[in-house]
Amino acid sequence: MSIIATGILSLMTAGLPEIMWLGNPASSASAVSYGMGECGFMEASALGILENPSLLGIAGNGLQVEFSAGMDFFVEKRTRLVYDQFENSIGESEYAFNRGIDFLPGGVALAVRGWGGLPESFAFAAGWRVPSFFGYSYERTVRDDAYVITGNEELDVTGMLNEFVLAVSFIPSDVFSFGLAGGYVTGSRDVTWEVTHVDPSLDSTFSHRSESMNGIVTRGSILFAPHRRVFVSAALEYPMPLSISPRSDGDPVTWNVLSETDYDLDMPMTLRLGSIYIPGNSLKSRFIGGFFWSSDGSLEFEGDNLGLKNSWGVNAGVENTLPGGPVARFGFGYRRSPQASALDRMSFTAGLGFCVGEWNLDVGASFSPDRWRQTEITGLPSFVPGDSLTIEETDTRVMISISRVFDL
Amino acid sequence: MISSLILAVCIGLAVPGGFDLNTATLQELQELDGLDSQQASDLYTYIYESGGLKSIYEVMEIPGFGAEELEYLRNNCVVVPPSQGRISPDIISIMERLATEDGPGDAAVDMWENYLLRPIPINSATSWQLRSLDRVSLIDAAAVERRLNTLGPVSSVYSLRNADDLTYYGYRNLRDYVSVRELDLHSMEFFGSYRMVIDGGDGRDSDEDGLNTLLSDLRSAIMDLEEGGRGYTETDSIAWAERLDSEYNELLQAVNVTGWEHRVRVGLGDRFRGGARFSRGRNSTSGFGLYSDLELGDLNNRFDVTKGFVSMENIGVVNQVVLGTYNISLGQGLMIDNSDELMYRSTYRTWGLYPDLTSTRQFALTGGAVEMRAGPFLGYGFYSNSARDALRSIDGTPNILVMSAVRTSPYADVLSETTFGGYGFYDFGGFLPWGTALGVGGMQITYSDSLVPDPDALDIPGDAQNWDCPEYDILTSGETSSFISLSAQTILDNVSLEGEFARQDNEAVAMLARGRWQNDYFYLLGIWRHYDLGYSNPYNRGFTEQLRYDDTVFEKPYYLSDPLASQLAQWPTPKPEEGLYVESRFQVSRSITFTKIYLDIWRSIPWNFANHRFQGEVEYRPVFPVRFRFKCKYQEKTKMHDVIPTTSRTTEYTFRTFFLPSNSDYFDVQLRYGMVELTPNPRYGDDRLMTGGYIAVRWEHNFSQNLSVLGGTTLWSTNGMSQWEFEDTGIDFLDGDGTKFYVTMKNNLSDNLQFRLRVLRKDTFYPRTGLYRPDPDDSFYYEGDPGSPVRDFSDHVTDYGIRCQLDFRW
Repeated sequence: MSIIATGILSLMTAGLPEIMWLGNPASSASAVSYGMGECGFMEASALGILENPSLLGIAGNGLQVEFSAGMDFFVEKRTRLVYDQFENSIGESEYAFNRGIDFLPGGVALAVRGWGGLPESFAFAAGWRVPSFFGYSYERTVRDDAYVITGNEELDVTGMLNEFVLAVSFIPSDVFSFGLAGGYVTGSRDVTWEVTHVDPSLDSTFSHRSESMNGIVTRGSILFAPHRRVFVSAALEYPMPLSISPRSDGDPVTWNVLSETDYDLDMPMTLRLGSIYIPGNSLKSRFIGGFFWSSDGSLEFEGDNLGLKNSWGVNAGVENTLPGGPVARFGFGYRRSPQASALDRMSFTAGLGFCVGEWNLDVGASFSPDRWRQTEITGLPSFVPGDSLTIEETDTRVMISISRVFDL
Repeated sequence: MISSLILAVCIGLAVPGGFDLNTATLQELQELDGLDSQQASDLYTYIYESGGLKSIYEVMEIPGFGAEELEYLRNNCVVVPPSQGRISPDIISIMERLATEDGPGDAAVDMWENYLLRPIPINSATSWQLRSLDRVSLIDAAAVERRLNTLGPVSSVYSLRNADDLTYYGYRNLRDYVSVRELDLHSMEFFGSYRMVIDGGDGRDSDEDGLNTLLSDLRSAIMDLEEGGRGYTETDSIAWAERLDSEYNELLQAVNVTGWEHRVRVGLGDRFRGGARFSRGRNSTSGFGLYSDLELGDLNNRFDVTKGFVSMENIGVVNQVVLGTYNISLGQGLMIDNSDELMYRSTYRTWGLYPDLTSTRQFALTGGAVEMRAGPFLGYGFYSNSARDALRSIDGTPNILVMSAVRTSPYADVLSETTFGGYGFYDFGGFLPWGTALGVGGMQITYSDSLVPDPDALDIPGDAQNWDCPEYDILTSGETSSFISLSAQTILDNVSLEGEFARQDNEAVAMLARGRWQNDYFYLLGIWRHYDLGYSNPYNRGFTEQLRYDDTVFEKPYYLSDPLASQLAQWPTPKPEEGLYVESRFQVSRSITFTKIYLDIWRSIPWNFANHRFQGEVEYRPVFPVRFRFKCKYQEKTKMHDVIPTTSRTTEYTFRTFFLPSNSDYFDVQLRYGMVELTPNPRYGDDRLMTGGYIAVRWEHNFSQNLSVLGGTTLWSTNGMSQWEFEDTGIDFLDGDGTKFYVTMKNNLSDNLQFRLRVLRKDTFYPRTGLYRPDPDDSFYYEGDPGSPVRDFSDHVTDYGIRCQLDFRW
């Protein structure tokens, strides 16, 4: 039973669960936070402020500008277990090997504080960021039992979500600050599915589905400094429903999706907590940690629960100034998937930062391995006969940020 | 950004007397005539971020500062250097010893960490306390006690340096755990620590006893059952199929599960302690919390070990009373030592009573324990009631206790165990040489249900393998067993003699005698032990070469009705054996040291086979930064096997180089090659020479005392002889052919916060060739696609490990 034979792609739980749900979360936008466990929520840079506007309370005076972009490298190996006549597994045989490289725009933002025309206790930021993206490609050479090539099968998913954000912050004292932000979310996802046969008497299949998505997201946050070296922050993110408009063309296939016509999809509310600790040591270290909880489990569509679980995650990272000037960062992140525990992910991150004159150049990278069996994801169609496939995948992202503070 | 961050929270600090730059406020710095506003701000930021200037000359490292500013500040200000944290590096250091060969166990490290945080007041310390410290022998501990009792208290720990019979090695290892502080029973100083460990990553995590192996074994057994090839009755066949199927499905839930550990400890002055632990191992099942009888909601489902304790110390004659989970290890560990870390040939043991927050589950004692001291008497009493795992026969009868790496419903919390006992010592120190004592103890263990060892319930009736396991067959049914124990120890100058005799109520006995002779350049340790076949005390942790069920039928899951019963092979009590172990270290000169040489000659009691093992390691250090080590092991061991006994001869050579190219770098290369020669089994007639080896390279760079990065890589090739490698945080199993690399970052942010992160990638290759078989009943097949013919392939296993540890102390 191949994916072609079934003719079904599930929006909720396809073979690429996150890509086919709300996309791969970008977690953070700046290379600085990528290096520190993808903890963008506590990164007091212009891009970080879009996610947590109360961080304007510890942003410096002036006009802060930041641009970030990078690449996402995705490697996937699909294997099948091989058994002997005693039903003992002797190993796993590789069935398909896929690689993909996608451009990953982080965003661009500016933050203003201490400008002559503004009150001392007021600051604002604005920018564009990419909260999640869709990027996946699958290719398999189809063979018969005699290992003769009979055809080819391809699946490609592309697209991203964009968010245009305006954030303001009220800073009544050195100890407290409050922030509010609103964003307009827009984006699209394109899925193409193609199969060709060596035998010219068999028809090829080509199908395409495109979905445009639009919505609004709001955020409120607070920053508190209980000690001169410790800062803690809490935030609530409340998105409005995402309006999705699907469109299909090409050969007719049955897409296993929530709806073939325009519909609204509720989005989960997210609570975030985080802290910054500056211990004061010879390496001028800085530690940041974050936690989030998201109410995915309560999401419904037309009165039916979507069957997701509440998700949560933790991030932590450290920054040290090395002898000679460069800044080295490392961290980790852990995220519970709303879809299945098999998709829970842990990531390792590292980064470097340099000062080039008045400009800051930062590079950050994250690496996340995962291994799961298709049987662990409910309702998952398979690319190959049977449903015993195991997927080993690694996701590596590299981001570069450029930032500068201009005096006003 | 950081500078503005500082500006935003500048909080005024008083500057007592003089003008200390390190404690000055931003406003005070801005009032200095010799600095402009930007320089004052930069200086304040630098001090804030770096924790303080070490000397006035350090200002030259701040951009915008020159000779003029330095001269001005030198004439008008002072710098009081900040105190340097000490605890963090020490704690990291002892934790790393966990992963070293012949290293200590979890319980010992936990205890040492406690002492680093709250050092032992040396002037009231006894040899009973000091003997438990890392690499401090009983002779060293008694030497300190003698020094304090004959010459009086010391005003500095350094004063102990010249104590008679205290080796420099012992002194050096002792000094971090003790201080000259006095006990302050009125202090209500609040201190504590929190540790979080996340142990994740993905892969098949292949090792010989791993989850993947158990799943494969279970699946094979289920298929065998379905084909009716096991010879059970129909009723039993159905029951076994249901059990194995449910276990298989439970274990599937453990695949790629991330491990978590939360551990918190608190204390109030020198009187009160408390702590809790919630953890779940990597690739483990959950839902069987320690307090499974208590309604703890989701906690029991989320974790597999939950522990907690409260304790009080220094209440008159009561040294310590602990309520909750505790560790107790007395004598030579023949009667009571409830750690689960019986390591081969380990000569380390914690000694005494300690609150327990370790990962031990099956041997955790939960209840109350007390330690009392009145004059020369030292007494311990303990009571515990805890759930225990056990293998069940197919009719549900508890069969034998088991310690499972992965737990499943049929065998988890099968019965409850009530344990109580006591141990009393009379200390003859002063009258006889310091460190001389006699002890007597007793203990009773009662289970809520009778354990009925029944080989028919474990053995597959229809297979060709005869059940043959004297270690198991000797066990008798019953709910209760009791033990008595006698122990003695004395010190004669630089020689210590210790021993313990324990007897079970079935008349089986265990005995261990130990002698040690030491000076600064040499020690000689001898241990003689004897464990009767019938001595089956689950808390026996005496010195041994092998675990009780090593080399038995329990190592062969395909001979067992339930492959999970093979986990009994990890049961951490000594094998019935009798033997003499002799170990020495000898520093011949400044450049040549025999770091460790030992010879163990022992006899397997059930089979009366003689075995021996030798290891010698010599180190040559031509100059301080360079060391070479050569190690050779040879072992000859006989075990009962099918048809005839099999003798294995293991030879292993290791060559290692340590190199310190600078004060900040450490470089280590290790080469190992080993071979095992087995008596060919006539049943199979195969070639029984197995080999294996690896080369490992490790490099560590210290950027400062606060940050170090360690990287390592290993390349290995095996032909039947798997290898064990000691990494920086654990032991790794190397099989097949492969490569791996890992990076560890250790960041001591301050004495309050430490962050440690490790990432590993391991690639193992198993070539699978010659798979084509024309007979369809004998062929290989793909799961889910049995129709496709299987061709040769190379199984490429990629494992990733990401481990993060966060320690917060206050």
